[in-house]
Amino acid sequence: MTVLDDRPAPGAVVLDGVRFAYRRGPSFGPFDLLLEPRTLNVLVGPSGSGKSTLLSLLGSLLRPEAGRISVARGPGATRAVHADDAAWVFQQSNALAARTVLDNVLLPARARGRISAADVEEAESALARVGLDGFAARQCRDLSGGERQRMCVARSLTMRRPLILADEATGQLDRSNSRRVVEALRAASETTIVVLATHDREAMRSADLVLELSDGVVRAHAG
Amino acid sequence: MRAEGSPTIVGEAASNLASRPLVSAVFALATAAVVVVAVLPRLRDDAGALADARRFVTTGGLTYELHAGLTSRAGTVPDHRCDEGWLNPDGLIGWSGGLSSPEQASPRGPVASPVSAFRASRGVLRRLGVRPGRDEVVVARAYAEEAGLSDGSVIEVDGRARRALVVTLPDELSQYSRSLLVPDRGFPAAGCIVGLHASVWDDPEAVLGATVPAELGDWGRRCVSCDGAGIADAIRSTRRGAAFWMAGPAGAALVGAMFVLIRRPELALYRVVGYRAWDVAALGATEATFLGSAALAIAACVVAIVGLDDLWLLGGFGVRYVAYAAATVGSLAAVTAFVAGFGARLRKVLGALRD
Repeated sequence: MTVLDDRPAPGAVVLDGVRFAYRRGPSFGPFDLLLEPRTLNVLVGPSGSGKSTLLSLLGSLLRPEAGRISVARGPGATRAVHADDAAWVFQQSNALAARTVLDNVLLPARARGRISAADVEEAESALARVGLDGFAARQCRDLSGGERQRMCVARSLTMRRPLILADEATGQLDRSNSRRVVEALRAASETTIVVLATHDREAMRSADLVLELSDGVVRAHAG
Repeated sequence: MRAEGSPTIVGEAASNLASRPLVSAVFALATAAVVVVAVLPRLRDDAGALADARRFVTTGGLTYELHAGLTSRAGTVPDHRCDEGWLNPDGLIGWSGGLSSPEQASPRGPVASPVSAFRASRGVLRRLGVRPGRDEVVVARAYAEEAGLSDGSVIEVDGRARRALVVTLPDELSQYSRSLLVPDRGFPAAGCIVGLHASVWDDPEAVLGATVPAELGDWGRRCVSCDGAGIADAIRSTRRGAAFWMAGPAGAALVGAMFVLIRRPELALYRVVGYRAWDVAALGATEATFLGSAALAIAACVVAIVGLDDLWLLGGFGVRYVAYAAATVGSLAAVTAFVAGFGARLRKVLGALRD
């Protein structure tokens, strides 16, 4: 378990004494955790151990029974994390199948308003970071499953959020494609915090921090 | 991090529809079918009503009267009062205008029991056999027998002595069987000067007091523009007894709900990438409006091709059908927006996508 630093870096996500329990289900905590900026954090554990629950807590979809989850803003200053802090990548890639790859990656920019040249540049850059340079004009439905997932990672980058939560993002992929998606998430973590929940032990090798959930206890160690 | 500006909605909606032409076409056609089902029967009814009216004109039953003091040569005179009444379900012109004057005379004299006296237009009286210029009071035969009156009996009405003319009232006037019909001297029926033959206006003096056949088309338009109710309404409401046009909005609402169900995964995606629930609702509504507009264009073509012999009807009754169309597209868009927005709560969406 990572001991809470007194002075987390700005952008770090801090879990302080977090505890959660379902009515009839797994419970965990209390625990403290620090997710440093620009890190890939891999969350592993058996089915039902609470990986998705922890992601939901990080994404503010669930509220902890006790404790606090916050984003560090500067020395000694934090704010509570909320749903708009997280970009999600799911097991099944969600995309506008009939639109181009670029259209899909530009969606977050469209949510912010009119598209600018800088937005297009950012989207193309994000595609390049996940190994999809040259795919911008391709139809999304023509992509393989792994390529789609990487496109979703690129899209999550253009959302400009401090946290990318990838829930079993490699769950339906073969080993080769799975490795590429993890590489894409690794690349994404150069600018943001990535938390990948997975059963893929191989992904642990790419992680900055491995979070193992078991019996309601979170054990953190370097990847 | 919150959105910095307004999300792009219109362009996104257009791109989505264009990127899936087959699905878009299917929904546009479904909506068009709904519109046709809602509108076409009414159009056919209108056409039927006009055919009835045409037949009646041909047989000479539908007439207008020309009166001194009328000066307008306009085809329709919306600023004048129309008081001739409507076609009844059998295609006969109603008598309401000529007999429903709010003023009532107070009969006295030989008429013992209280009885209403209605001011009747010259047109009505003429059809009952009263010659123009005569100052006779029409007494229904049934009542005359009851009151002991006969032709020539003197009746005092409003202090004036008048002679009785006993007539057998036609069925259309049965409600006046215990009434007196008094010539309306003022004769305010100034409104019904539409649809007259051009020859009338060429020499109005020559035809004053005459009855002339009306041009059906103008008459139909007059009913819509001047009185706010059409001859078709009178006939249709009796024949059908139901507001069938509601099939349009109801069907469109159903199509809208189905549209959202099919579009749900993509609409959910918009929520995930930062569109707010209202934005998703607006996006759905915009897509639906585009579809609805395309559907209306298709429906208009179908109606024009198979709907009518009298194409001018589309123009004459256009306001009503534009209203139907607006209600249909509005229902489609509103239901789409409601379902799309209501189903776009972030937690719910994310929960569904993760399952």
